[in-house]
Amino acid sequence: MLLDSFNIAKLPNDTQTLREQVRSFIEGYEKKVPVIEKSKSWMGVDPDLSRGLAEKGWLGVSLPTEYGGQGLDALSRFVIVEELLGHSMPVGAHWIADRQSGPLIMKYGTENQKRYFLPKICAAEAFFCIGMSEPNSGSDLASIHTRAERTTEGWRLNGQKIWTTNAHGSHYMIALARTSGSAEDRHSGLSQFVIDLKSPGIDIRKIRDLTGDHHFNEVFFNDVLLDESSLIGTEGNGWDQVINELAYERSGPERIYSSIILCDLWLDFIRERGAPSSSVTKLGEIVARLVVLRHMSITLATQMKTGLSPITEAALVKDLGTELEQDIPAQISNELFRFPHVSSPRSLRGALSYISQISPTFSLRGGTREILRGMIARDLGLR
Amino acid sequence: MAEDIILESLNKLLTQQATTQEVNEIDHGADWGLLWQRIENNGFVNLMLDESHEGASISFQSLSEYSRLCGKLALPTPLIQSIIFKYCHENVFGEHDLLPITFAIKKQTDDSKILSAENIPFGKFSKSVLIYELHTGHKQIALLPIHAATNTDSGFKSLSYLDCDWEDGLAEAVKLDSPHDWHSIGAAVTASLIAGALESLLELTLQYAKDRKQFGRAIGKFQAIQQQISVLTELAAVAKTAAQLAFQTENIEQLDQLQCAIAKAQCSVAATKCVKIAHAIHGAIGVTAEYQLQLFTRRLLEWSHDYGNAEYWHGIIGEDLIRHDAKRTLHFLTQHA
Repeated sequence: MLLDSFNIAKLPNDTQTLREQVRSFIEGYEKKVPVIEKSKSWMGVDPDLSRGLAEKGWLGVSLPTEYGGQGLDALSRFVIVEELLGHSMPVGAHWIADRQSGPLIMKYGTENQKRYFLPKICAAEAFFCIGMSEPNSGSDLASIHTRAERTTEGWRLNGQKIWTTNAHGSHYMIALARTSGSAEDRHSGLSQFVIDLKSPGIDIRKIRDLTGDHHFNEVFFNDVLLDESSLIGTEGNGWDQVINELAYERSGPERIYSSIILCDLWLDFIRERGAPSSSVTKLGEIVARLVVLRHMSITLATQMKTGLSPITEAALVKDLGTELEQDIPAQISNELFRFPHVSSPRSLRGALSYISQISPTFSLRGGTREILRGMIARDLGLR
Repeated sequence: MAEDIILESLNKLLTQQATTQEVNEIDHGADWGLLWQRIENNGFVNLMLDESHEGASISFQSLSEYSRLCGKLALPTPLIQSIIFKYCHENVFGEHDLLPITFAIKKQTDDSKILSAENIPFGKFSKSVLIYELHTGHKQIALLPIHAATNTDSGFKSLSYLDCDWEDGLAEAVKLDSPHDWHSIGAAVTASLIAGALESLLELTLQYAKDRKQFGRAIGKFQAIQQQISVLTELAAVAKTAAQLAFQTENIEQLDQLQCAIAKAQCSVAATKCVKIAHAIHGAIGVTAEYQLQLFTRRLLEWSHDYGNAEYWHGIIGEDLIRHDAKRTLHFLTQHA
């Protein structure tokens, strides 16, 4: 039964020193980060920050030391990531590489791939993006049409990816492509490739989001030649690898803290100006939900540390987490604008405006709400 | 390991002695005395006491699982409350037959001679009530036998609530100084009862969705139903985690009010939402006395309000954060929870 997986776990006390070190670094750095960048959470990109973290040894911490990592466990990474996200730092440059590309290469890559990519990831010299969605394959990921065909020296890639976050700021993409059969074959015949985005035949075109920002892209592949070493893992095993990758993507604190800057700014405002009891209650509700979700997230990180892959559990926590991330701007807006004559800080209103607009993406990226709930239903034996 | 065996033996006893049919009969007025006697005779009220007091030295932390079990089986009588009370005030037991005991907030009245409490949780299934004052800071409690109440009212259609007045109440009460925060204890216990009841609610609803056929197939095959049951599962998982949070301290003396607040608030929210979902999926059969869904939904509705509802505790958590010296929300989270 799914509920059996949820037994409260605590972070070990020895992570406290690491937390304090990271917090102290952030407090020195964050003056450089304007509120609007903080509002973007892990969609904010600041390569200098990423390099600063790399110098401290805080990228790819869970990778073995021989590949440039620190050999720490999933809970240490949890603490670093929680500090960064909880202070709304723009971690977008290295985010995908640190969260999933590194662990994916570690798990499925060849020795040469590990030796080549992992030290670069830990040094903030290789930023990655994810090549999953296509124009006609969103939730139905298995129906992708991007195709890699064998050549004498490797592969020839044709097709298109879309909604690719930070493709324009990344060095590499790990892409899912069909290597045999057709879209009707569904989960079989898919493979993963690591693609150098400077390769000839790649065209990255920006898509502006509703706020006018450029964070995601269309990526076109036109006879892109990949050498033999571009294949990650086993040919035809791409689907299983992707599902595994999504467990990294769904269980972390990034599904809880995307709107945290609003809580901080609102709390400052309430402390300075006082607040009606309804606002105090709403603030308490947000915090109560955060505390419980944080513990659920720690529970999953603890399971991953022991080698488990809590895929459905991660989907469950992500659904709850993104709902909270979306409720935060909605509830703060309700409370703040009940009193149209009361002045409130521009920074708070600015962050509120941005996050309210972008928050629909929270429950789309990394698997939609409906897909996640479908996974839970399958686990319960309803599908 | 020894604790697992004790938990299992309680499970066995309650599964045999408090079947859904028996619980249903007690809920609708049958005598609960025999059921309680069996629980007491098997020593379960002594769980937290040490072996020299015929107990098992069960820690406060592990009590969370016992409480969830009671919720899961819809046990009518306040066993966990009685276990905790007996552990905290073992010395009053020589002369008084108090169990099962429940906790209730002293109602503010104009007449200082009358002691009153209303919506006493588990009131119909208790022998006595521990009355505590909310918001006063002083830690005096009064123990009152329900049979001595001059005015009891169970005329309304509640499951377990009683309203009681004790005229000249303070004279007939056993008065004690108690160092414990009974309001938070009540909240913590009720949170885990909710978490347990939600496990049963989920099991029942899931089974019903697999069995019940409409339009030629099981209703659980419809996406609309699947999504609802997934939400129910999510909320049950939230409640379980939240309830465990309240029992994180080593012993009851260190009980953390904030963690109890978070637990009760989040379990109350989950309870209310899950009751709606479960009833919606069950249709009309769910609101019959005969079918067991109501054993859980009626309890969940009461428990969601007992010892402070979600709004009450959210308000307290909000005030706590505002007063706290944490500069950031995250700092509060990492310091406190």
